[in-house]
Amino acid sequence: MEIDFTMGYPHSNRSSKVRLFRKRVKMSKNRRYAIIIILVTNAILISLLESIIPVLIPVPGVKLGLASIITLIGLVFLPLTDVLWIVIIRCIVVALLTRGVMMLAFSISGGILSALIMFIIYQQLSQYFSLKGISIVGALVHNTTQIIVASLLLGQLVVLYYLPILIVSAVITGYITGGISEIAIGELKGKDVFNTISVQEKGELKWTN
Amino acid sequence: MNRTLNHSTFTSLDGFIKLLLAVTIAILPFYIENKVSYIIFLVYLMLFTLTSRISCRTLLLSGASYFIIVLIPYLFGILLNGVLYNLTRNEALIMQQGYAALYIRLFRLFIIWYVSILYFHTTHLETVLSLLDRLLFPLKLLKLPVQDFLKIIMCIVTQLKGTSEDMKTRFLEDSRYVMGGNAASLKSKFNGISRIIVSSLVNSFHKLDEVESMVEEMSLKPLFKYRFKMGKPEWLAVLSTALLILSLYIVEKGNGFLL
Repeated sequence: MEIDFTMGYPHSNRSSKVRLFRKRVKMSKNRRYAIIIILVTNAILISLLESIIPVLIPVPGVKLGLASIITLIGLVFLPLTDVLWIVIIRCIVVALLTRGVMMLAFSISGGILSALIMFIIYQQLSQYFSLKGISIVGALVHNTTQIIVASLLLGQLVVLYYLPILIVSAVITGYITGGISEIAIGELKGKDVFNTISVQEKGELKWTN
Repeated sequence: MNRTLNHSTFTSLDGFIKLLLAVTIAILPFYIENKVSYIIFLVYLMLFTLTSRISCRTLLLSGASYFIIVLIPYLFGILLNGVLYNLTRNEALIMQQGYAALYIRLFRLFIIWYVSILYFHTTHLETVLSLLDRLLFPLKLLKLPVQDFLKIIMCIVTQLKGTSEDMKTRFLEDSRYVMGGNAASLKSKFNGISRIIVSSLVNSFHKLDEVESMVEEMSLKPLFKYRFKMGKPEWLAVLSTALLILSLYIVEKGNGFLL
């Protein structure tokens, strides 16, 4: 069975690091799932880096969120549905393996909303936002959603006092992960990873644009 | 990430029965008010934990996220609220809910988190996914690819089991080599991180065909082979929970139930 799979989206001509391209690829369902599996596995493993590499952020509850790099990579190379699959599956796997189901409410709400907002900005407002900017907005949405969910669960507005701290940290961490994503996306394009996947499928591919 | 289950009676309990018991225990705190009920409940939960033989380390690690996301913002909020109230005497800053009610809410959330940790750390992932496959049947009616979704999760866990330790060692080696130790500037550290991520992604995509074959294999064989069983341990577990509910009921009703 073959399904339609859109790979790559237009991006700002202001951001030279991520250039405009749109390719329409026909890819087998299993191939598409394999790409999702690889990206989710990497997202989870990359978050291991945070525990290994000491990047000092002296605020409790604040971490770099390196896994969001994979979401950003997904936004550049994959269609929205696949990016959402990556976010949802990552949250579920991490909840099942480590944090427990209650944390799913926080991670999935923050993850989906930030991915959606980042996608809209990347699609519609990319002439105003670089990847660093998109990453900052994503981090802001993620942190704000999480704290609102915590406030709803506790039935307490006092939790929202923590929001300014999370906003400041989101700007910093979003800038950092956005910077790393820019380098990573540039290098991935240089290495032609996603195009290589398509070329390997030569027989099945149908390119448009 | 490499989750291995301890072999305890609890691990071998039927997944569905265990799920029902976990849900029952998780919602019980919403129906109790008496202090004695809380003590009975906590004693039961402690026995539940001991029987499951789950390690303290696992519980603490899993609990860190609850502490970070829920407790830290809450405690910070309370502190700041108190400071602001003392400075301004603004009545709008008085807590809308009493502290006792709030602690009870925190306790209930904690129990939901704790029971879910106990459940997922004592149940085989295949069983969990198998149960999800059955419980999510309404989504299947909507033509959503639930089975594909669950199989992807299974593949990811298999991948993680196979690569997490290797990857951790490689990350450590790479980070020492690429990032140049503590003396390196922040910029070179981030360049290092991006190089590690890129090399990890590129290496992973070299295995794309392998992963694809795994997905194909997984889609051919019946992954979800859960069968319901109701043996002696299951009856014992159900009975113990029923006894707990009965004792809580008696305490809450002030012995009126028996008279």
